[in-house]
Order: sequence, then C-alpha cells, then structure tokens
Amino acid sequence: MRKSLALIVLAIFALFFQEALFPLVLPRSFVPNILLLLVLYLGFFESNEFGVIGAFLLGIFLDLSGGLVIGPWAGSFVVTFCALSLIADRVFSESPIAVSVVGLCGAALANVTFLFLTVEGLPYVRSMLSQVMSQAVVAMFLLPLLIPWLRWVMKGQRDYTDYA
Amino acid sequence: MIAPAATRKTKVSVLSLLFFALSLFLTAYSNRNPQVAKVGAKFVLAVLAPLESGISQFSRGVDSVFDRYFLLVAVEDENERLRQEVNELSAENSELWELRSENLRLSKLLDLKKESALDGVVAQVIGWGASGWVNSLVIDRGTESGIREGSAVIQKQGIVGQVVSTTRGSSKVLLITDPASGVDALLRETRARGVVLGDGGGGAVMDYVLAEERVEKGQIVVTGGTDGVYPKGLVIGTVEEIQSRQGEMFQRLAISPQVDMNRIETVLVVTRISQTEDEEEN
Repeated sequence: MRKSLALIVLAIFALFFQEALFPLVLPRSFVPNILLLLVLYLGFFESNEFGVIGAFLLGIFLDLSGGLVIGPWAGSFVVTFCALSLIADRVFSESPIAVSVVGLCGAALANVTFLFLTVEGLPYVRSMLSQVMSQAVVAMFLLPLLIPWLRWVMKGQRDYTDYA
Repeated sequence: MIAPAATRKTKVSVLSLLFFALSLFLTAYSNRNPQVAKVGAKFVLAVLAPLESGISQFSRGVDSVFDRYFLLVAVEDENERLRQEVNELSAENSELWELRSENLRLSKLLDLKKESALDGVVAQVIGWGASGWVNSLVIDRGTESGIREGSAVIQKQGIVGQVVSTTRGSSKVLLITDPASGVDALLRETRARGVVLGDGGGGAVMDYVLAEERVEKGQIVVTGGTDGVYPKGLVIGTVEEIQSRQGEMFQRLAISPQVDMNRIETVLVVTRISQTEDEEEN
C-alpha cells in the first residue's frame, strides 16, 4: 500500500517536473524523463508483479499526458523493466558506475522501443538518434543520484546496506 | 526443482509479455479511436494545468527580478540611500519592461488578427510536452474561451500547431515539429503542393512534393488551406535542404520553421476564420 501510494505521488510530481519546471531551465533535449528513471528503479529493486504493473501504469500515464495515442510508452516501459529485471541480480547495484551504465542502456532501450512502436519508416533517423543519445546520457547521470532517494521513499531504506 | 529466483523471473517475463501485448493492443486501438486518448489526456491536463500555471507565473516573476534587479545591483557602489533608490527604480523598471514586452507581443498578435481576418484568443504557454518525443505545449486557455480541438495556433511570424486536447481552462497544442502533425502546404513562389510533417527534432520536412517541381533553398512554405485546420497562406517556414533521389516520384524538403518553438511565450488560437469582403462577395 505504501509503495503504491508512493509511486502514484512520485508519478504526478515527476510529470509536473518534466512538463513545467525542467523545460524552464534546461534545453529541451536534456529534460530528463523522470518516469523512465522510476521504471529503471523498479527494474532494479522491484523485480516482481508490482514492478511490471507499476511500469505499465507509469507508461500509460506518460502516454495520456501526450494526448495522442495510449500504449507506446507503456509498451516501451514494460520491455525496459523486463530486460532490467532479468539482469538486475547480476548487476552490482551498489556501484554508481554500474548503475550509470544501466541507466544509459535502459534509457536508450526505452526510447528506441518507443520509436519502434510509433514511427512509421525511418525518415528522421538523424534527429531522433541524437534525441535518444541525449536522453540516455541524462539518465546515466541522474539514475545513480535518484536511486538512494527512491529507495528511501519507496521502502524506507536509507542507504544501500539496508537492502536485502 | 526450479529455484525461487528462476520462478520469479519466469513469472515477471510472462507478465511483462502480457502487458506488452496489452500495450500493442491499446496503441492500435487508440490510433483508430483518438477520442479514447483524448478523454484520458483531458484528465491529466486538468490535474497538471493548475500546477503548471502557478509555476509559469512564478518563473516569470523570478525571471523579471533576476534579469532586471540582480544585474543592476552588481554595478552599484554608491551610498546606501542611492542604492535603495536605484533598487526601487530597478524593480519598477523591471515591471515596466515586462509589461512593455508583453504589450509588444500582444500588439503583434492583434495586428495579425486584423490583417488576416482571424478571430482568436490570446493565450500564454504554461507547460511543455513531458516525454521529449511528443512536441507539444500547454496553454492557459480552454473551452471557456472558445477553443476547441483542432483549433489552429499561430504567431505573427507563422503557424505553431493545433489544439489536440482541451479542458475548461487549458489546452494541449501539438506543434508542427511533431512527427504526428501534418499540414497541407504550398511553396509560395511555385505553388508546388506537399505535406509538412514534423521531424521530431525541432524541425520539419515537406514531403510528397512532385519530383519535377523546381525547388530552391530559401523558398517560403505556406499553408495550403485544405486541411481544415490552418487558414490558407500562413507562413510555415523556409526550405533548408532538398532531398531527392533519381527515379523517385517525390522529393522531400527539410524545412526550418519560421517560429522558434523553444521561445514561444504567447500565441493566438484561431477560434473562427472571418469571411473577408472578397469572399463574402463571392
């Protein structure tokens, strides 16, 4: 119950930050997709049914904010969550570098999957690839900073050693 | 016997597969029934718009103070009384400067309304698309100001996009730089027709221009007026690059939009296209 509630509140604040606050201070391609970072967190530390449903619903929420089509982000988040949860126990999650690499690859996978589900043909590869890269780099830097805080919010764990 | 970790992984994988299939179904379904996505979008817009409006006003205030107050404070080295006076005048000046710049923007939009016989509502931008892939804006006017889905959104320089979702007091605008956007377009000089689509990276392309049409860099692209959204003759942008291949029926033109989508603060939402005298005569 606590986790579900925390996830709902985090999702609302994440979308608010993404839509209204960060675009005021950051170039558009470097505005972080915080909902995606939440999915990467779920893949790492909630590799269970809660995580799958959470990732799906976060995607639906992001799709709804776009107002065009429901489903692409949901599908992309589920794929990313699944890929990460399958390797989560083999990644040394205490290492910020390992988490950074996972952030980079996870964000790239999510964005490419989203494009795969939405773009017909590939006429705009150049501009889209640069967008994928910038999003992946942003996730690489932000994920190690966000994970300890998210663990505290979601589970009440203050540092990595609390994690069992 | 299967290890618990393996069971968990299998369970997660199967569940993920099911939810991925559900996502594909939803994508296909909402593509064919856009109303489904719009109903949900209205809900999200209604929740977030008040917060965004608040932060937008706050940021304008901060910008104003930062730009016109702190910079001036840095240069003063006079006595306390003069400093106080300068600060007060600076704050006042800052307010006037903001008002002047807003006045200028609004005047341009009013001119546009008069020149083009368009009825519209002036709106402020209060938010941007969340995912980076959907190029959209949130504005502070909605159905109670006469805005409806499909309304064209323009500026003095050119077109911005169209309204895709509205609530009572806010609307979501899909920019012409989004790949899901399509605008019927003409090259102003040669009248060659095509469709302008967003390239997803802040620019646009004009597609389906017949290969035999003569196109040059720098030519102006305007709206064609047959898509039912944008009035005819509004500027979209200029041709930046021509991509044509031998043997292909169409050529594709890279377009630089006339409006800088990253610097939009105020827009005009077209609510009605008034008939001009000529049209009335016809």
